[in-house]
Amino acid sequence: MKSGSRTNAIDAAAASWAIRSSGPMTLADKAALDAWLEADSRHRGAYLRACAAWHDSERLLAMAKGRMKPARRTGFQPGRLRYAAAAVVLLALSGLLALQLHARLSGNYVTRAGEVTRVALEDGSTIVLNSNTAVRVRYRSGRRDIQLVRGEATFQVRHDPVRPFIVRAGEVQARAVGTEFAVRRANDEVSVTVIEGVVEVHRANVAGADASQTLRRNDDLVVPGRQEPARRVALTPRQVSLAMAWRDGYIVFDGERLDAAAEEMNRHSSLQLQIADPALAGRQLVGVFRVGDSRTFARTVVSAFDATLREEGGQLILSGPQRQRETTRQVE
Amino acid sequence: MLQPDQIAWFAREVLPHEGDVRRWLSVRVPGLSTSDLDDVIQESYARLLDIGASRIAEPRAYFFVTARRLAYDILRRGPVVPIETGVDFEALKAGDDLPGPERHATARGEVERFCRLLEDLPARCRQAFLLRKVDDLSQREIARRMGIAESTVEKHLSKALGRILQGMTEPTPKPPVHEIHEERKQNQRD
Repeated sequence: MKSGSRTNAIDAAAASWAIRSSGPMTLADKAALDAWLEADSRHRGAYLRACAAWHDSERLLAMAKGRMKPARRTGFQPGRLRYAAAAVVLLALSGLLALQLHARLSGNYVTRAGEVTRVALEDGSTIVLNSNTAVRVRYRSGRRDIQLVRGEATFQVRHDPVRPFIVRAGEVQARAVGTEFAVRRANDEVSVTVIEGVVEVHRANVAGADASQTLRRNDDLVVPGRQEPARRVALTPRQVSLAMAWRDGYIVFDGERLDAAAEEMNRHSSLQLQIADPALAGRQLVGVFRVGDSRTFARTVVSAFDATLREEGGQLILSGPQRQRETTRQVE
Repeated sequence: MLQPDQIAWFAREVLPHEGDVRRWLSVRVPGLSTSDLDDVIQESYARLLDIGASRIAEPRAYFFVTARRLAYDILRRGPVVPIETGVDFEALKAGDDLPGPERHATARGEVERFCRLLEDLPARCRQAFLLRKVDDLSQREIARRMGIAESTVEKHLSKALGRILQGMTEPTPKPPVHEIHEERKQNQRD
């Protein structure tokens, strides 16, 4: 689609209303806007969309500062000196302002079983927390400190050469300037997977070559506890994207054993799956499930492998085929 | 009306995915015209607003699903169902093939695209926009400084916003040709 080919009357009107409502409005204007918004749900959507873009352009301008050629700024006249100075101060301040926002947004983020949460930080970085995860965010002037207390999270880091983004998980420290990576912590073991860019991983209390490693795209580093050597694996892009599917609220199985798949589902749900039949546990599964949706998973197993399902004390118990089909139906 | 935090939420969680949604729908639903697509997008924002940010755990997925359902409704409403376009209605209804977030929008790419959009604006339009957004001046003050009517300022700003919005939400492009050439050159050197 060519740029400029999209002209939509509602979008044009919505842009005008977004501009008008960004300043003081007369009562007549307000009434007219309300009437327009009431007239058609598309008007409301278009207006909201325009307001969101108007809002977002501030963030983009803040990031773009210094990149625009001075000649492109407003023309300079003596009478405007004061204003020009004010503009410079404003631009300089926007950094400070952002810091204050960071201070406000610094905090602790915790997810429960079955919960996946996206945390947008004001510098434009994003953290996505998997189930049962706790993350502590502390933005300081020279660095962006993140602590992975437990669980798994991915970090999409806005490029900022003067403020490295540092994720700590136990004795492991992953440092990035602008990139995207995942850190997972289970007991003593910490793993780091690089989705995009470069990440430096440092390990406290370890000497030699193992103390510091540079990971690139699709590299996966598993650091066991107790100073054992780290294992580094190059994953395929497909493996990485399957492993990260939880961020979109999905879990993808691509030939995993059923017991391993059930265990993964259980990480995300308080309703626990149990495979009560060894033959069934060894079957392989291909499929996509919503995070936390153990019931659908169980029903899929029932129909795919002719298994039976019963629910008992907060558990979904799957076993091999049975003669009495009626018990299965009652669960539905 | 709209609360500032609602707007901020849409700016952060919905708007960045619109280009992906547009591209995805235009590939998946060939019977959809450009104006249908605009309808779908506008209607999707309205639906997401009705549901409420606090109830949407995965805005991106929700945006895709909502837009797809609306696209499906529009096609069904049409006088002739365009079977020959090969629209797979069953696939449209299924919910597990949503594309994942793509990593094309690096911060630098985003800023560069935005700067290009600004540079492509007509000079007066850009001037009004920068005075409003960077210098934080009121429309009245901008009108005084530029020596034009306030209503003209509003027109400039509306146009700037319209262009920026369109640029931000273009269906996400494939990598530019010159980058592919660069890669080839590198391969040849290797």
